Amino acid sequence: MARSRASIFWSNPGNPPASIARALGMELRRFSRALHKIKAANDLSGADRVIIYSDGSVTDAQGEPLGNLHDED
Amino acid sequence: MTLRFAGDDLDPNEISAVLPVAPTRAHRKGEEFFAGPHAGKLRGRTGIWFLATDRLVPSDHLDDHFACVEKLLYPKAGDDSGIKKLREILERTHSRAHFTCFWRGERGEPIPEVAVSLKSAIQSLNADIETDFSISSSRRKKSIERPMAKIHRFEIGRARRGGVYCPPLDLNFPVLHRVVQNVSQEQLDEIGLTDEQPVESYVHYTIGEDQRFLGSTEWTVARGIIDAAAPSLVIRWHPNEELAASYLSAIADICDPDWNGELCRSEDGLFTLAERPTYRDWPGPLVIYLADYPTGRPYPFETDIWYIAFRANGALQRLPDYEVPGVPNNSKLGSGAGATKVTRAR
Repeated sequence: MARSRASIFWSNPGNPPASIARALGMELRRFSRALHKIKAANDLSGADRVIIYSDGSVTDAQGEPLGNLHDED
Repeated sequence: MTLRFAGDDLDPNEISAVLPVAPTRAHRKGEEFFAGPHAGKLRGRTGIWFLATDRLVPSDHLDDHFACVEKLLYPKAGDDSGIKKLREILERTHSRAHFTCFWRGERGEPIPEVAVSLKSAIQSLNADIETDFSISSSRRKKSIERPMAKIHRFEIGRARRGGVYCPPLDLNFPVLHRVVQNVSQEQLDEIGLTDEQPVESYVHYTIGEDQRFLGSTEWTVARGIIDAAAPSLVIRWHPNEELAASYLSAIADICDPDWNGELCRSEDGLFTLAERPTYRDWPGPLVIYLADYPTGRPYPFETDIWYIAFRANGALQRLPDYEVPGVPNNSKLGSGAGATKVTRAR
């Protein structure tokens, strides 16, 4: 997954604040649900740390790609 | 709601043979799969059979999603043969079942409870269930509760003169700053925000010179918006406080509750900073400086619009939507090589 020019918006465990959703141009509920699904689909819990990039891509703490928030409707 | 079966030795086809529904995602460990048009192809971290009910159940009521999962696990009342088969697969492949529930409610709504019958199925599968329930705090509701006599909901900050020059009004717009914010858990704990998450490299754009941010910040002057995912920004001049506050109030009414606008004063006048969506045919987020000012001539309600828009690299961008069809651009406006002045009758 190409991510070379994306910058990191979030790199923490738990639920990101609403400002991250806004920065990605996503409605908060849709953003939260998308992240919830990406974590679950990768056998991660809500408390697990993920990294969210400015292009919507999400990786685990080691940088392994998990999905993209814009793919989850 | 999601349901998943996961384990390094799991073959998701075995789960599909038991459950009468196509999974949202299924792959073995190390297997390549298509995760979406943005994500492309990824490789499975573990074996998984994953189902999200939001595409099956067109309802925001969590009870409907519980019922859907229950129906999958118990297609016929009293028949637990499917559960037994699933348990055998899980034990043989050293895998686990997990349920997750996601719910966002409005203030006053009761927090849902997991149905007893579903809890029984979860126990039978020796599964765990994770809930992510929260109530949104609507700032819009708070503002409605404020006394109606209060006109100004927006504090007036201080801006530094010295940005883009607007020839027809002979004024300089405020300087736009890009602020990168970092907040550690220790800094949050110090001020009692123990429930908030730390922030790493969060980007703000501001025209407020006295804007204060929690944690450590790095300020740079911004010509364009270099963060591709950020919205476009409109920095607008206003002839008086009432018009400026009305403009921000109108935007706040149609935006999400977490929207923030800025109202600042410099020695050149009153300015607002507001976010706006980036049009698909723009090259990316823009910074748009705009002045919509009454001229009073030749008719009493006639106004002029002047604007200039910058791309991420500082290059100028023409915006026909801010222009009146048939009115030629007037580009003789000093620094505004791409600056446009048009006349619009209200």
